[in-house]
Amino acid sequence: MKSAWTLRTRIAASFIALFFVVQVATVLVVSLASYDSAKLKVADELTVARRVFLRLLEQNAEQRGQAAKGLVADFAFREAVASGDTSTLESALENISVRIGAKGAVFLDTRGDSVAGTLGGLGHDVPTTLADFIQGNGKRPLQPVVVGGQAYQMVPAPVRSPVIVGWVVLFFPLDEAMAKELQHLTNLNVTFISNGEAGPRVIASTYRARDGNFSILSHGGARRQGTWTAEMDDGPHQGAVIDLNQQRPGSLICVIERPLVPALKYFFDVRNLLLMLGLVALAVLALISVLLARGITRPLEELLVAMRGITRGDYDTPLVTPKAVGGELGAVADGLNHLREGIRDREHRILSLAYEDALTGLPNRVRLIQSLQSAMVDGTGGPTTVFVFVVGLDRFRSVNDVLGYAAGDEILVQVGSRLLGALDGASCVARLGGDEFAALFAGDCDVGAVTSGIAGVFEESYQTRGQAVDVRASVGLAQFPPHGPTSEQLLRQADVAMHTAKTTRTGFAIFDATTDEVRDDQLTLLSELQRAVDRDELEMFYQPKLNLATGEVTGAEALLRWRHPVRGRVPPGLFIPFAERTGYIRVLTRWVLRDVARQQALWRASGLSIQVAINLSTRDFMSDGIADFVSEACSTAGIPAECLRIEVTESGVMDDPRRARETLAMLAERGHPLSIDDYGTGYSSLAYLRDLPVDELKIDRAFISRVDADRQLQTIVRSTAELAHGLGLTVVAEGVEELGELAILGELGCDYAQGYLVSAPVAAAEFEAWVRRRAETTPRVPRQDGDVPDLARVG
Amino acid sequence: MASRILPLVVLAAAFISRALAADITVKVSDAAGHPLPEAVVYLRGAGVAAVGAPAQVTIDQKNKQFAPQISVVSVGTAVAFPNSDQIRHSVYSFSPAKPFTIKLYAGKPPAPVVFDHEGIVVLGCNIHDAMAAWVAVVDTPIFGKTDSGGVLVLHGVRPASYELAAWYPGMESGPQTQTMAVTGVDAVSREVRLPVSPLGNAGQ
Ligand SMILES: [Cu+2]
Repeated sequence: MKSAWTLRTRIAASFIALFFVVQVATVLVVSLASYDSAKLKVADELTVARRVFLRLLEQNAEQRGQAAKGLVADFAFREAVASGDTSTLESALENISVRIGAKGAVFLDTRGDSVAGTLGGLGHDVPTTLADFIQGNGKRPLQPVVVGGQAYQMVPAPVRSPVIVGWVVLFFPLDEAMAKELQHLTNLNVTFISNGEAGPRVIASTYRARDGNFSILSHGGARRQGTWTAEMDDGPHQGAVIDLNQQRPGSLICVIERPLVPALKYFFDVRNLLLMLGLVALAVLALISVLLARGITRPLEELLVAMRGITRGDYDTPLVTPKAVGGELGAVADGLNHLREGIRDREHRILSLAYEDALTGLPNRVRLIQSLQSAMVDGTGGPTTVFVFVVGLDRFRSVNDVLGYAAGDEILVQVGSRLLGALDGASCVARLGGDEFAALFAGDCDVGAVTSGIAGVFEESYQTRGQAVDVRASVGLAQFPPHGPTSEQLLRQADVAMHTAKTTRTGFAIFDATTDEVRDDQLTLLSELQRAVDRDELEMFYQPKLNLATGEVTGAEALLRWRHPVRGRVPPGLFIPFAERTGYIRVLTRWVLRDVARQQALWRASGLSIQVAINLSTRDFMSDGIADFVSEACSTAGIPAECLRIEVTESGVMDDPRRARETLAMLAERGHPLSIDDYGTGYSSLAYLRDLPVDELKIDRAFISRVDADRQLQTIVRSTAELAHGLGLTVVAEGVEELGELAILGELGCDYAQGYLVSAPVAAAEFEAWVRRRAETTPRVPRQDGDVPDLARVG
Repeated sequence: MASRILPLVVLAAAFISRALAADITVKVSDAAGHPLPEAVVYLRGAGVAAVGAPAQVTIDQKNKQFAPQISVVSVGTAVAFPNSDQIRHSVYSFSPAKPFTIKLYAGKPPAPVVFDHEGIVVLGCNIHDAMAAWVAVVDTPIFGKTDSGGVLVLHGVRPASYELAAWYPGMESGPQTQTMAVTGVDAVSREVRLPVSPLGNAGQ
């Protein structure tokens, strides 16, 4: 939940919530305070109203008393009083009542006895009150009374003749007019209520009789002591009770009250204003909070975006340090910038390592592929063509072997720089690895000029350590379109062409799609190779070794062939190096060992005695337990160890001489005859070989090819053979392809010859047939036409 | 010895000259017990009656007040109401003993008013309510008002059985009375306490 909230939301929400709480608290406090003060205000109003009311009654009494005094001082009235004639007196009293506006009047003598009156039925209370008043000489207050269901304010006036001979008491009603007058003065509702034995009764009120509040009041509602708040017909009212007759408390009261709501209007106004202000402030604050939060989080988000860019690998866009935000965020942005630049620089270094050939400083294969890709992509938009030249140095291995790797490297560097100088029109000159270089041309390209330029590179000999070395090269060309379509394919096609040129010794070849269907994506190769073992697509071919002295064939070299169900025969050169690189060669080797041993057992059973040689790759040779496995294969098949010859290359031995010696010793101990293969390429000394338990030396084809025409080669072969013989080794010449070569080999001291001239590698059955046929006839040199030429090294 | 006889002789001579008469001293106090001046005191008895026309009595009007405020007269006495103020006054009475009215006047009224019935007559001025005067009309020649010490001495009262009456304004129901025997030899002294307040204080 928390993580779903962005920082911005959280900041803004915190602000808003905090402010909301404060706002609510403020509104509450102010509301309560103003509510209280409003109620107090009403209460104050009631107190004032109460005082006003009492003062009004007093004033009324005073004014009317004064008026009454004047009237009763009338001489004629006093005469009427003195006359003792009741009817005269009553008419006089009535006259006074009318003149002063009273409801009635009574005359009482100085003892308080009623002598005459115009207000009938005073009852008992009133005379008692009046007698009390008169006996007190008019000093006690005269309280309002209820007479005949009507409330009256009694106003006394003494009759003097000249001493007080009696009192005239005037009765002024506390009626609706009075109530209205009070209402006018105080803004309060005024109701006079009597409480007799029959219960409360509204005597007069500012309410109409039909009003709900009238009914409530007349039923005794809201009738309490002092100040009160009560629910009435139209909501809460606040009011006060004035007890008018304190001699008989509660008998006559005046209720003054008002509805609270209008009285609290001020309060509600204030509260509403507060609420409105609060809402507006909240809205403003929300806006500010969001803006503020955005101000904080936007730079963060920008940093985040920039960091994502870095994560994606975009190191070139500098982080924009937000101007508005200095301090920490700015520092973070700076730090990220440094980090970004550091990463960028390191990546540049790594990239340069990845894309640059360490030895020559030229772009490497990967870089070339990239250049190819971009060039080919550009080419799709128009008629642009891409040319890839692969330059492979011929027999450069022998340079390494003879002069050492350091010298070889020097030459490679020089080749690179010369190529670069000669092919200034190339968009990329790269070293593919080993002794292979490549040049890439986009757009128009004069192929002839390029090839002659490349040839020029190798016209002059190379100088290394005071020695002049002639280097030759074969050039392959692939062109997009039509070749390709992928850059990898294009490069490989150029490579194939180069190999073709090398094999055919033409020096230059353009890729021919018809000759290269088999090579394909190497990734599929591995899985197919794995399948090949399981599906029995592999097959061993055998190439005979001809005994030059006897013309007999007593041995053969077993060579692995792959009969692909779709592609047909896959040349070993296409998959053996690949298998060696991937390590899958071990599986192949084991399969080969088992298959050869099995075949040997078959042949032996059929009376065919042929010693078969198996090539162990350097990788196999150096692996633990290879000797045990070889022995196991022989014992499983039931063949003696001497039937299985093991061939290891000279370079393989020289890679790790001590280990090689140990393995060879183990194999020899088990009885396996051992051969050094490809001799002459590994720069090993025969003195060293002398210590090894080998009995055969196979001279590399490079020394045999055209040996009949090359005296120098003859010298090398002869001396090598002599030395080998001296060490007790037999000598095999490999790659014999010409009759001339074969003719001279015996003379040069070679014991065996192997090559196309004798026989191409053939399947076991064919080999067996060939051997048997040959054994029956005189030795001759067959030529197997129609065989697929083996592009890889033979033997 | 002779020196002792002379005073006796003088005393005897005096006794003889005022044979069968006694002085009555009446001391009147108000409700609070303080001496009450101006209180009306009189004696009534069988065979004692107002006799003849005594000298004219005057009740003056000064400073919007009757002077004196309290008078005691025997039945048949004529009372003059001169007006000493510069303003007019109108004297009236609603008292049953003597109702009368003298319309507004200045100086001397046309005729004195004869009080011919026994009783208390309250006098007022029709235009000045504060003016009040009381005239006690008694049917006896023996009467008087207490002095400033609240004391009245009635001289030469013949031996008889009397009713001693004392009155003061405010006593609506009439005078306070008591019987009193006068032997004519011994001086009689009485104290009377009336349930009233002095006029000056009452200010009614
Ligand atoms: Cu007067």
